[in-house]
Amino acid sequence: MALNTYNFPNGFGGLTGDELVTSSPWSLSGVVYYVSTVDGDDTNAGTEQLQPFATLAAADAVAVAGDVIVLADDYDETFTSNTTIGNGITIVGAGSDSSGNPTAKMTYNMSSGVGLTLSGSECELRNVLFPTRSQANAEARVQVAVDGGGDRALIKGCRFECTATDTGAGLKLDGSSDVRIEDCSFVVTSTTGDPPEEGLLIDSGESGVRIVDCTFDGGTLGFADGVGLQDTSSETLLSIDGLSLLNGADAQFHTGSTGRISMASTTGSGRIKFQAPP
Amino acid sequence: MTMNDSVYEGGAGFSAGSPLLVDGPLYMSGTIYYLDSVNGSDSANGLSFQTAKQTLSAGLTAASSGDMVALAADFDETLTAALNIAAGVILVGAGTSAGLPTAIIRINASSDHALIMNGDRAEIHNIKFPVNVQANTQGKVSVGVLAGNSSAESLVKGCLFEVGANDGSQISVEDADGTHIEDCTFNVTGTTVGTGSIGIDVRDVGIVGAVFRNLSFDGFSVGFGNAEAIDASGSSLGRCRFENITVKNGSNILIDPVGTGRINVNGVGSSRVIFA
Repeated sequence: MALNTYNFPNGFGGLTGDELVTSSPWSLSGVVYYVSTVDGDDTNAGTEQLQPFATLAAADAVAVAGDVIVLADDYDETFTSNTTIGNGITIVGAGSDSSGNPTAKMTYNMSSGVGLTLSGSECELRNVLFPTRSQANAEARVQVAVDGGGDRALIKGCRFECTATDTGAGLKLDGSSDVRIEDCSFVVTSTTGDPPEEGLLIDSGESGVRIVDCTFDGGTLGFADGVGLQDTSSETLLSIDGLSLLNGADAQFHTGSTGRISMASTTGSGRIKFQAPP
Repeated sequence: MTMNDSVYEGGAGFSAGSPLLVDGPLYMSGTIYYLDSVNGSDSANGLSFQTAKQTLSAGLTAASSGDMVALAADFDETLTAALNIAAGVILVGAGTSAGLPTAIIRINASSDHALIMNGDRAEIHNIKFPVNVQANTQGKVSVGVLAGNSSAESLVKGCLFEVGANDGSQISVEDADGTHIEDCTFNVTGTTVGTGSIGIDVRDVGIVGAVFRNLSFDGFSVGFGNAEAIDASGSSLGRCRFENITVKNGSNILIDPVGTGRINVNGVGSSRVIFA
């Protein structure tokens, strides 16, 4: 496959949202697949913006390393089972609202199991909104990956909304190295009920994870035990730059982790805690 | 060792430059070594700006994985031989002028790099690299060493490279899977250039997962050597990402078409992407 196999002089056709869909020109080795829950049909080829798939599953079934899956700005899909993304596949949402938040939505209605698994190396997930779950689930909505895999994954510009049904993490890292999480927000959006579990859980001895310009916002209720970012294992060279802890959201780190944390802003009683997990 | 071994409540203490030196509080498992080429002394401990060391050699010798070597905004040192940045060490400059770095590192040697990122996850932030003092075909910054030490997952961010006739490449990417080069500016400031005076030279074959993002190349009146801003010909990059690359005035991008990934280059004038 050649890097100039597919050329998009005017870009992928997005007007707002991630720069991947608003910038141009692009040349790539892989195929661009479009998904629209409003206008799509899984019998389409999915390779034209005007003939998109209707579901992420249809695109995921054909995508291989180097391919890009573009979710329309009004994409809105509810999942009842896991989706797994393999090596080098990019999922990117078009569209952003007046606050700059993504508009392409992936909602999970499952009582157990991980929602979206980034299982391969160099996967990307960009500019997608993850609303609170439809039912309680103690697993993560997005996980990189399962006991390893997922090295060099990028999660960029995503928003995780958290309420009482989020009895598991919004995003969980499970043994993957050199994962980057950039420009993401983890926000408690409910005002009543139990506080949700942490937005981001770093769970299994990763190396070289970078978290850049991310925000944890406790809102009115706060996260469970106050912790929006939880590091439960000994990370090596964890780099957290531009961290914002708003409305009392805490970040808790394992005492065995190494690296750095650079704070951009804190409001309320947000804390940095260093302690071994219970 | 844990990430609250060093707590800088007010940040690293600088008012401009890389956010790493401006934001705060800053928590580190390592230590910040301060360098001041004007008022520092290598016999000092380097643990505060008031007791800064003077030379890069002293700072990089003291630093180990997780440590930061912070250069004062008016730091200006001319090296005569390459210095190694060890695995996990962060070299970062304070200070900006018109949004570009002011801390300066240059090389005055006939055949040597200025800096070699000589281990995994090394970082360089916000440093200005002027034109070589004498003709020197070696890349100013070498990410890894070809057929030698790798430097996987390294980061070069927010640096300014000034290009002239004495220069080889500005960054040579040697043996370095997962390298990130971000937010850097490459400007031809000389009135002439050599054929090898290019921006980024990807020298190894089959590098996987390299990311080149938010880079600006401007050849100004004479262009880069052979009009090459990036030479990744013959490199067979795997899952590479070139995003938001701007090329002006004789700044071509040469890419080996045999590879996987994607490329977004905005050209001004006749600058172009050549799949060769």
